[in-house]
Formats: sequence, C-alpha cells, structure tokens
Amino acid sequence: MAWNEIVCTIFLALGCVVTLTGSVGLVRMPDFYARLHTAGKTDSLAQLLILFGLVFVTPGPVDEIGGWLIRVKLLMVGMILIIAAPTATHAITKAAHLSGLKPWTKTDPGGEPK
Amino acid sequence: MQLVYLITAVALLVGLFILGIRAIAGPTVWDRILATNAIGTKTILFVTLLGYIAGRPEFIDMAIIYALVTFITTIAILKFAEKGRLD
Amino acid sequence: MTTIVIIDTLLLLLVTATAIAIIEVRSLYASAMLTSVYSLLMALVWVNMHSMDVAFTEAAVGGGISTILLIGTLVHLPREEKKLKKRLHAPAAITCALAGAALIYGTLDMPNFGDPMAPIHHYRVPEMMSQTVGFINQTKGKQPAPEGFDPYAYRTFNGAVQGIPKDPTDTAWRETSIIAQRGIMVPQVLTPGHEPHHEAGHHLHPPDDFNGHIPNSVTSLLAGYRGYDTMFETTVIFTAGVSLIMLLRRPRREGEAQKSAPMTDQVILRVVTKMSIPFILLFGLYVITHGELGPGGGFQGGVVLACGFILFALVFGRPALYRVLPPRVTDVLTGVGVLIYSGTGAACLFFGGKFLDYSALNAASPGEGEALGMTLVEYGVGITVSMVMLTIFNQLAEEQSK
Repeated sequence: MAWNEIVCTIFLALGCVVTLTGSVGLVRMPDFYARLHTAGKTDSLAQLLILFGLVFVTPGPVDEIGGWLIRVKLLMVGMILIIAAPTATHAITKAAHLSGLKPWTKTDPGGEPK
Repeated sequence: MQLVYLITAVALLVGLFILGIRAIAGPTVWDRILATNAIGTKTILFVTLLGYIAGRPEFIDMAIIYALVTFITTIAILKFAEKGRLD
Repeated sequence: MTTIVIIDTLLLLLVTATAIAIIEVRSLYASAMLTSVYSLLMALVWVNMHSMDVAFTEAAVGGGISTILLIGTLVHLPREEKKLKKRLHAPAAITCALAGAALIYGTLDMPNFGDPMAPIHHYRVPEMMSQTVGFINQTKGKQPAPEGFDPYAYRTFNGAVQGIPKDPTDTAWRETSIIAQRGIMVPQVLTPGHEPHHEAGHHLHPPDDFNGHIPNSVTSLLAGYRGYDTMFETTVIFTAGVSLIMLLRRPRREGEAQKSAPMTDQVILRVVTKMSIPFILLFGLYVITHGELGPGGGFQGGVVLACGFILFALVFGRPALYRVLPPRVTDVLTGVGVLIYSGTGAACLFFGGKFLDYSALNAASPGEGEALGMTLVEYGVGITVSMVMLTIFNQLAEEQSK
C-alpha cells in the first residue's frame, strides 16, 4: 500500500474506534447527561478523523487546482459539522436542563421531575 | 483499500444499530433526540464512505445537504420540545 | 459477498427495525423522530445503489421537510397513542400478507442488479450515455465534440438484443467508452449505416441532439426527454400550495398581534443560525444550478432553499420571516416558477421550434440550447418548490396562533 493509503487507514481506524466507543457508551451510561458526553464528543471527533483520513485517498492530481476540489469539499463538510453538531448538542442540553431534568447520582436516580 | 472501506462501513453500521437501540428505548424524550442527531451525523460519514467505495467521490454534495438538513430538523424538534409550538 | 451486498443487507435490517419501531412505539413524538431516521436510512440505501438524485430528494424532503411538518401537526395531538384492545386484525393481516407475497413473486422476474442485458440498458439510456458522458471529461463541464467525431455514428443502434454479443468473453464492444473503463457496463452503439430498428408497435426516437451534452442523465431525462411530465409535476406542486392556502388561510384582522415564540434568547443558537443561513441559501442555489453537471436539480435545491427560510422562522419567529418575505411575495412566487417553466417552452415556440424543444433557443449549437433551456427550467422548478414548502410551513405554524 502506498503511504497515503496507510495514513488513511490509520485515521479511519481511529475514527471507527471512537465511533464504537461512543455508541457503546450511549447504551451503558446511567442517565441523559452522561450519555451527552459520549454521544456529543465522540460524534464531533469521529467525523473529523474520518473526513480527514479520506482527504489522503481522494483520486485526482495534487499539483493542479482542479484536483483539490473534492478535498476542499471534504474539509468544508468537516467545518460545517464542527459548527453545527456542537450547537445542536448545546441546544439539546439547555432544553433538557430548562425542563427540569435532574442528573443521576448514586443516592438519587434523578430523571424528570414527577 | 476496499477492505478498509468495508470494515469502516461495517463499524459505522454497528454504531448506527446501537444508536438505534437508544433511539427506540430511551426512557426520556431527550435521549431520543440525542440519538437521532447522532444517527444523522453518522449517516453523513456513511454517505461519504459509500462514495469512496463506489469510486465516485462526487457524493460529497450529498453529505453537505445531510449536514444542513439534520441540523435544521434537530432545531425544529427542540423548538417543539421547549416551547410547544413551531413558529 | 461483495461490498455492496453486505452493506445493503445490514442497511435493510436497520430500515426494517426502524419501521417496526415506528409502529410499535406509543409516543407520537418518538414516532416522528424515527420517521426522520427512516428517511435518512432509505436515502443511504439509494446511495448504495448509486442513484444520487433520488437519495438527495429523499434526504432533503423526508429527513427535513416531512419531519418538520409532522412535528407541526403534533401540536394538536395528544402525546401518546391510545392502547389497542385487539392486537391482530385478521382480515387486514391476511390482505397485507397476500399483497406482499404477490409483490415478492413479481420481483423474481426482474433482471439481476447491474445486468447489461436488462431492458433499461437499451433504447434510450445507452444513446444518452454515449452522447453525454462518452466524450465529456470528468469535471470540465460542457464541451463541444472533439475533432472528427461523428454524432450520427453514436446515435443509431441496432435495437434490443442484437447490439450486445451473447458471448460474455467477447468484450470488444466495451472498449470504446469512458464509462466502460470506469467499470459500468453500457452497450455501446455501433457503426453508421444501421437504420433505427422498428419493431412492431415500437418507434425509436429519431436521431437528434436532444439532451444537450449534460453529464447528469437524470436531469436531462427529467427536463428534456420528459419535459411535459416535469412541467405538470411542477403544476401539481403549485396546486397543492394553492389548495392549502384556500383551506387553511383565514383573514386576519388588522392590528392583531401575532403570537410567536422565537428562540432568540439562546445566544449560541442565534449566532450560529445567523452565520449559517446565507450559506444554506447559497448552497440551495448551487444545487439547482449544478443539477446539470452532478447530482442535484430543481426539486432538491428548492427544498434546501425552503429549509433555509424555515430555519430563520424557527429561530427568529414567524413575524420576522413575514417582514423578510411577506405572504404576498411567497404567493406570487409560487406562480412565477410555473410561469418560468411554461414560458421557456413558449419561448422555444417563438424561436421556431416545438413547445419545450430547447434546441431552438440556440440556433448555432442545438446542444447548448438544450443546456440553457434545462437550466432555466430547473430554476422555475426550484422557485415553485421552495415557495410552496415555505407556504405549507407557514400555514401549518399559523394554525397554532389561533
């Protein structure tokens, strides 16, 4: 494999590991605020890693401008997601907190106000 | 390289399955909204990956549309959950 | 097991699980969210089959607009469904099972996925592929034909099965097109001197340069070969918007303030929305214009445009949207889109061609005329679709103000 394929494989593997960890955490965590950590953070990181890895393996010439179109578009998607995904997570958290959701502690399971 | 793509695609699909479990079985409504948002992001990655599997990286336009559409849907869902109305 | 089959199987499992969950979950709110998930997953299935335009439309309409409208109807509904007393309704179950079995039995007769001998790969499609993708470079857009290229050599072909050799090892016919080199099997057309093949009751379209060197064959089919069909589709969308206005709009008394609940107290959301709305609108216009050269087109771009306006209405409130885009303007623009479409067709009449025959628009090069006509037509479709979607959202949201 050429060097760019090896680099891409590393990034894709890291992205997969992060994704799977986040998903498993979403099922195992005890309450909503803990699940936020896993889902929100791993989401943003995984998409950055995978999209950045795919930049290396895009076909097309590197020296002329025309070959960079798709690579720039990939990074653009990454930038859009970096701005939009944490905003959505923040909005979800704020809405949940304002509606009275209580976090989980060992003594008191929390949850929605009865 | 096709094998690497396939493994990544299967990993993303397994992640989608697990997120789907949370979307269906979440005890509170906020869990479901979180899972739906995460499924949207994973779908964007999956579309890009499918483009590379097919050998046509022009699918990236679709990923941009997915990102915007998922963002807007999440905002609409949140507005309803918070204010109870849609305007 | 190839890659496509594995991904397809897993995706279809996910889709089935989501569909069952939509029915079984009792909370209506969760059902609406799962519907959006279902639309996104179906769009992935279409992408797996390499049909980009369908996936675009499914994602934009199903994942975006449909979910927003479903949430809009949830305002009037109770939070949970009633519990059913009887679990299984025997006549309905038997009818569904029989219909499903009949459908599955019907699909056994269909050709295999990607089979070059399938009827879809004859008649019209290889002609279009050879006209457009065969001599256009991948990213350079519209170009005149290269030196010594004889368009008639590509345009006549021999009819259904004779064009392709039956022997699978005879691959000489594949070596003449760029498509074949990329791995897509398309039967290439043959030498000049073969007349169009007339079977009984089936007329081949006379050879012409009808689809204007546009690489995206879906758009050229929609706007060129089936131009009437798309015009009436646009009219149907326009009629839907008009009927919604007639049904739901009530005259408002002057001076009555509109209640609304903007989300402007959330600083982060407000700033990010302000930053992203120009880009969403610009991207919608890009999708409409770029529909000729890549996946996209009028319908998809119109929905993205509408989503931009809807985002503005969600975060800043509907009165703010009415200041920017009053209902009068929206109503007029729904009609303007259909007018642009039919007007382009009529302009072709003025230039001496038939109705919706865009090649008359540019007498020097009919192919360029086709491309110009299709661009105009896609803009018409995009304007109508975006304004009708916005009208639907406005009317639905206005219901709550009463």
